[in-house]
Amino acid sequence: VSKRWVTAGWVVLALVLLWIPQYAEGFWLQTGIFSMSAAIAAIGLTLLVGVTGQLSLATAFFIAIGAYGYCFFAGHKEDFGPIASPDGLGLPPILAAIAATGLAGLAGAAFSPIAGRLKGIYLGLASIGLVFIGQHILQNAKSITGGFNGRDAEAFSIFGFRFANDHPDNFNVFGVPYGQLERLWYLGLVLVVVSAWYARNLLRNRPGRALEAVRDSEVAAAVMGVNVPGYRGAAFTVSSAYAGLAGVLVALAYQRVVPESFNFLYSIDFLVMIVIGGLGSVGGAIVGAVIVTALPLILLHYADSLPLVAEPGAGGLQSGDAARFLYGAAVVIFLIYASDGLAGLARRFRLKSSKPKGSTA
Amino acid sequence: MNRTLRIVATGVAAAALFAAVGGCGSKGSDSSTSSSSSSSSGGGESIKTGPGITDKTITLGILTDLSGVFAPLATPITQTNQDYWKKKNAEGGVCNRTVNLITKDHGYDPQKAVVQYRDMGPKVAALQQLLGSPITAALLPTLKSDRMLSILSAWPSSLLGNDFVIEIGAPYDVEMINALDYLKDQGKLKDGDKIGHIYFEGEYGENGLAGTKYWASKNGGTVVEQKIQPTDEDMTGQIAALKRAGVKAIALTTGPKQMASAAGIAAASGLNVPVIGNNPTFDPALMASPAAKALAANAIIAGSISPWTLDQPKVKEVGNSYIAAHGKKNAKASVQFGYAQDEVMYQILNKACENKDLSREGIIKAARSLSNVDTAGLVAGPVSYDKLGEASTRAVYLSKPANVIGGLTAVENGKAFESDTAKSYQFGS
Repeated sequence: VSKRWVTAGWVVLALVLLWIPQYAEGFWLQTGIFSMSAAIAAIGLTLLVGVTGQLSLATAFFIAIGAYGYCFFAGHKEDFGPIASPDGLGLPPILAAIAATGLAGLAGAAFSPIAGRLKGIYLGLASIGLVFIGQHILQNAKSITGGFNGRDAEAFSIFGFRFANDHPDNFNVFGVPYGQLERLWYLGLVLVVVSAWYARNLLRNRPGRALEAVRDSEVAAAVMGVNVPGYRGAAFTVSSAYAGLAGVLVALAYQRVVPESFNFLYSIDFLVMIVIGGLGSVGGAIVGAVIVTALPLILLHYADSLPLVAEPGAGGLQSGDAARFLYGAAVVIFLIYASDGLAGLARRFRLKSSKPKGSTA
Repeated sequence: MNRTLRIVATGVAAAALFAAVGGCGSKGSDSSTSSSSSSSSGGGESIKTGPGITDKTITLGILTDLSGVFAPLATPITQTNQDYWKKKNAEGGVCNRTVNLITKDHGYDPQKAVVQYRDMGPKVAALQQLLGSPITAALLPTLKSDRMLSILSAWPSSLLGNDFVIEIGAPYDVEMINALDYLKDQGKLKDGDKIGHIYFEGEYGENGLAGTKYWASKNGGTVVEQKIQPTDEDMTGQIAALKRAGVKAIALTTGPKQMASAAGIAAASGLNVPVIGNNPTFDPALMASPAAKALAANAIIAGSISPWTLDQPKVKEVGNSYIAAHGKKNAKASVQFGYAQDEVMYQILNKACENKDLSREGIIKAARSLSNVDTAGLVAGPVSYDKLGEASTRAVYLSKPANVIGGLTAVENGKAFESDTAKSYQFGS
């Protein structure tokens, strides 16, 4: 496979992604935007789990900080009906997004005395607590989170261009009206590309090699002069900031965030993503995120036409259950036939195809 | 240099292709015909239409939980929704149109619900059923901007101020106030008594608690609060605390498991006080549990939806035709509730048809002009939607658990009960 073809492949992929909002209906765009937000958090988690060898089950917590942080920084206090709305700082959305990402990073840094000292599965267990503490805060810190009612996310805007259905109104591209979802699609693409680019640069430079050294052998890394707790804590902080950025996109995709969206199962999804994608691979994390997020939704979309699925509400197999069974089966098949993830599969494929013809090895 | 040129050339060529293909994209023309209001001639006269409406059909959405924690409640509601419209269509439908339902299962997951809504939203005129507080909260801004009339499968008072949200029956706080006043009428509670309230963290629990607090403030009583998580199923600690505090009644805004646990443990520990619960605290399956005796002796359930055994011909007819179609397994108040949802939707669509406006805005307008709709006993008291911010009714049925179909028998001969305190209660106070 020559380099030229690879480049051509990237160009075609980029154009297809740019072109999708021309045709895709709301369902596909919404699925895509959720997948993109998951991809950003998965990149962060693969830096932590795959590259540094640390385990975190608190991804949902840091995504919630990003999502609620954005809503708080960008939101305004409004009064409607009998319920007072939560407070907000009313910052411009772009600043709010940066501040929310930073806030999630800070929260990660605050946890780094623990993240630096514990390793592997022990850190994973310690981080579970954060998800439950997070749920408690989201339900009870009503002046910031809105409690069980959740709070609205201010639409993103940059230079007066709003990522919503208005301002500009009736915004058409090649005759297709571009509303909130179409506009957010492009914002999501940009954020994923920037996140992936930053992660790759991080991995290819000194910090990346130091993190890999920490993962492979703590002692060897320390002997080489790597500050092991420092790098572990830093990896946790960066990973949390990634989750925070993902949270901003999650908030924009939902338009309103509620505590139930950030539960423990959501954290588990991210582990599945990076395992399917191949630990430590940025590209794998993105593809894994798309599979884990989109597959259940797409299965649900088509589940009504599957054989053996009963009418909604009738006795028998419900479409939601059928979709879950298929998803579970897909994950198991993945782990059996591609135990090193999609990244490993791709590596094997490349090795095979780059071998000269007629070689006996 | 050469390579860069080639990439640029590929890019330009592909961009040209992209523009050409994009230019004839079908999406723009599609959405402009389906989402804009147009007029069509149904039955010889001109009727304004909107999404989900054609000359011959009206499409309604059901967004519910058929595979998650609330599936046991939502399944009979959904079955009743489907049976109702099948029957109505056979009788000629509404507004010379047949009604189609699109049912989607979100499994109590907000992310799935939002995506499913994107799928069904453009195709439906209104939501016949929307279930799940976190799901409703997450969808609220979208429903608002879509002007999507939605009939909730819940009774929170926090959403009464939204013109597109339709609730059928008294909210949780009003249920509680009525139940407490009933106890006072019976002489089981008096001014200044302590009331213990066990409630779920979250919207439902806090809404019920608001009712108890209001009642206590009007009657000089105090409330002993016990906040729990929906996963807490053993009420031993809570009941012990309430016993120590010397409460004269126990109120519950929880699920059925907590109701069984609380009633059973209170009776066993000698705390023989009345136990009152909001309508979601009861499930007929409780009558097969060890707590059945304690429930039958001490519990009172308050809710606007009629129990199965209410002596009203329509209530019996709805119950019997459900059993004929689906058996007795899911014979719970969800059936009468589902039927009430359908009946209210039928009235709304009929009204919108009379107004010659079946657009989404027209449907909301029609709904908000309904007042004193008689539900033949399915819901306590007539329901009204013409005052925004007001509950559809403030009356409830008070029932005792018993070994009958549906598990509840109404007290006071099934009279709709609406106390003076419930009448004067201000939402949000």
